[in-house]
Amino acid sequence: MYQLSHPRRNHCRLVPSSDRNKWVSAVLLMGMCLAQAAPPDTSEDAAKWATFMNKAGWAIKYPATLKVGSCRQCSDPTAPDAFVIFRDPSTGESMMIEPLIEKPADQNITKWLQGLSQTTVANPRVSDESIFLDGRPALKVLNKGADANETLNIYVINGSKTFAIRISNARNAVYQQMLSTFRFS
Amino acid sequence: MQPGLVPGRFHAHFVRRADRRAKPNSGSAASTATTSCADTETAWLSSYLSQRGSPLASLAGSIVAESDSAGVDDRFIAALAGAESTYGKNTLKTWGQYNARSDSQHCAIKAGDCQAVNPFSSWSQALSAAITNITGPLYFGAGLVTTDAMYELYSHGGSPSILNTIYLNQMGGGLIPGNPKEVDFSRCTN
Repeated sequence: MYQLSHPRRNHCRLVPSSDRNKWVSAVLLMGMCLAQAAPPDTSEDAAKWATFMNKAGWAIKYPATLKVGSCRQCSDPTAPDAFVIFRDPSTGESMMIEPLIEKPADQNITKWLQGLSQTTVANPRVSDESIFLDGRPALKVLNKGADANETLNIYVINGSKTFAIRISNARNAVYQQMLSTFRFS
Repeated sequence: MQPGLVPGRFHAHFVRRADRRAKPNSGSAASTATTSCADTETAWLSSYLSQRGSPLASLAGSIVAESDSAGVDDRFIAALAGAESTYGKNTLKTWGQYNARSDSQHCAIKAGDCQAVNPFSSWSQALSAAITNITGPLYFGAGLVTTDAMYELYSHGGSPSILNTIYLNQMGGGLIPGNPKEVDFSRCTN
């Protein structure tokens, strides 16, 4: 299974001291703590998240702050042939999960995922890595985004069904946490 | 200066538009190079749509040729179909079977955002109408040349976020120098 890192919130405490140098150090330490405060640890919240179940046979948990959507004519975001998008209205960042065509029986999985990653995204590739997502073979690709951010694109195969999970900002901790809840049924 | 105009922006806009036009070659080899660019773009777009199971994949050549001829980015025309109907895979009965880009003047049933019943009879008819609409007086003619500006009117106030996600992060819309959301250029013709 794809293991995601869960950055723990730093427990920064000021230690009272009459020593001037220690006080300055403490202030500096507090500043460093504040700088490192984002992204927050969302692991406790994830247990309370809602579960989105797609009829193509996958599910994912998501926080209530995200808006679930799909294409304008897609009346049912859980439909197996439609993409679903989890969008943060406050930042505009998003996670999109879209179905791709099924893998031909005679196609090698590694080549299939590599091929998809090259033909379904035109943005330059920064790096790629073979991983497992919920025990299924997957390819994790970082692509250059339109802005300063890198996008994260994961191609995963379940039987012959293939899906792309696309995160507009690869560093977004909430989407990373969502990714760790992705399951096939 | 007119109210609302920002010094330098107007000039920069047109410089960027010129820059964004792909110029594969010049001189006597220009026509050959233009054909090559269109072929390459068609192959890429066909593959992009095919991998998503889109019924529009077979129209990739027409999307590129008609978009180039009209002066609009072919990838925007494809992205619009993606945001509206998952590239033609999910067209509702209200909009009509071939209405991949939710053209409100060509619906099958008058309801919701649909304004006129005049359904398309083919994907290619819908494609031509979309390009004519986008490059006509309502959008390009009115100075609406970015995804954000166009989509607000196009969708009656809808958010362009899905369109931008597809166009910028998947189709590489922002790779050419200039405003990444500006789409009033041809990829393969000057």
